Amino acid sequence: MLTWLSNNAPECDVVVSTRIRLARNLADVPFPARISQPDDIEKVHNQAKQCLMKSPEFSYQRLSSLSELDKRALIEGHVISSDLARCKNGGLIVNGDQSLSVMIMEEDHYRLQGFGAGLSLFKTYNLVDRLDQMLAGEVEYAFDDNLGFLTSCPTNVGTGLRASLMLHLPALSAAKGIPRISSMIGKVGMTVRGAFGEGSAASGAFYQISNQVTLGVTEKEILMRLLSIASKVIDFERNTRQELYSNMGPALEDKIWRAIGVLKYARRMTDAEAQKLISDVAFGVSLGIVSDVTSSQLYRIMMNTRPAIIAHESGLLQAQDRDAARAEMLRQVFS
Amino acid sequence: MLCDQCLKNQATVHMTTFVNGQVKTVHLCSQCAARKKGSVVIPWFSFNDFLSAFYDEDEGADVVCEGCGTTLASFKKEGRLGCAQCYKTFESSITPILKSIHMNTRHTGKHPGERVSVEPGKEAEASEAEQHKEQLKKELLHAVSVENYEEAARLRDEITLLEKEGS
Repeated sequence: MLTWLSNNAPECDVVVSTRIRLARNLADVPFPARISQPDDIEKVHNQAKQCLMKSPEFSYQRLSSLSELDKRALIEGHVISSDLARCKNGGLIVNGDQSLSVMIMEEDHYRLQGFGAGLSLFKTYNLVDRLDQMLAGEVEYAFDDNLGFLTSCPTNVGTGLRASLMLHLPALSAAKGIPRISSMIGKVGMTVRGAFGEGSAASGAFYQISNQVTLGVTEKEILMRLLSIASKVIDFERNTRQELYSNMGPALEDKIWRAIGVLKYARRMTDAEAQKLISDVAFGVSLGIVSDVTSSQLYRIMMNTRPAIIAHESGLLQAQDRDAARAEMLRQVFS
Repeated sequence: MLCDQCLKNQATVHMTTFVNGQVKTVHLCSQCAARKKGSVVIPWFSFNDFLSAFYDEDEGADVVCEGCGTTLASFKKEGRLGCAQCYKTFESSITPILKSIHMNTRHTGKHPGERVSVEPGKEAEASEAEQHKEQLKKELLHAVSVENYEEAARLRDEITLLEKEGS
């Protein structure tokens, strides 16, 4: 269960969560694509383990010791990537609420990640930076004075920092504004994509915005730029919400109350339908139409009713059983 | 990314298929892709296809990195470097890629072990400053529209000052 998505997070009417990722490699070991010596692989695992396991908040796992279901639940919780799940030498160091983790032997030796609720770029960055300093104190990173942190793919070299925000943009998406925003954001070295599923039209209007450029800018500049762009997008979204409400109030209210009706009484619900309905209700919360749930509660239940996460918690392997369990979890929230 | 089918080779073919009205994207290696038939297949560009636009055709393809055995040919094919030393070995091929992706070739960020000072409080301040600036811009437009140029000049200077502080 996902617990770090706390209540009353900053700008949570639009920003679901913040994610910070740092790509790091050891200096004297080939990168994962070329690593072959078992000793080298052990070294990558052990150095991170020895350094971070001193802190009792972390636990370590070999990916090979996890079941397929464990892995899928971690993927849905965004703790690991599907690439890491497929990697036979992969490892994971993670804290109790899964808000801080290190993927071992993914595309790079280490991918340090942190999550925060709402717009919390600086706070989340500080947590990951502390992890980075802990590691840097004991291991020798692949680092070049000119190019910065060296990574397996040249797209990450320099700071190795990828900062992203998950945004809920129901109004901009209804007003067909996403392609425009996307092309504008592309011009300043950032990117927007659907938060669920690769490049597909996002169900429920959840989008991810992140920096593309990692070299020639400082960490602080990356964060500040993303923050400025995000502030703009947040303003656009809020204005469009008001605009939509003043133009089509009754139709919008009808849609939102219908969503609540279905969430309150349905006996079976797919993941995609839940995302769509939760998106509608969250829209209603931000306009003050709905007041007995909060947007954080909605995001949390959306993340915790993803298929593999339900299967992992309840052992339900059949899709229709999970759909029934999902409907029940949602009914409890809305009753 | 590994091939979805054999889970061994690097996936180089990314395709979207339409089967019984369902859209599905699969990532396959060239061998598995060749074996797959029967469905409508749309090959997608991979990121690496774009990168290859920046290489000179076959120039120095047999250069080998002493650190890990990666050849320039395999870097061009897979888009992945094998070790830290590769950045020196293939410098002349990597530099144009860095320029096109990052518009830059020089790291200005932190060094290992350094701490980046970002204060969480600044985040709220930054978005407040942004709002304040927007407000001033609205006031500026108003001042110009009522021909109060003295006030407009004052507002313009204040906005310029804020923009300098923010950058």
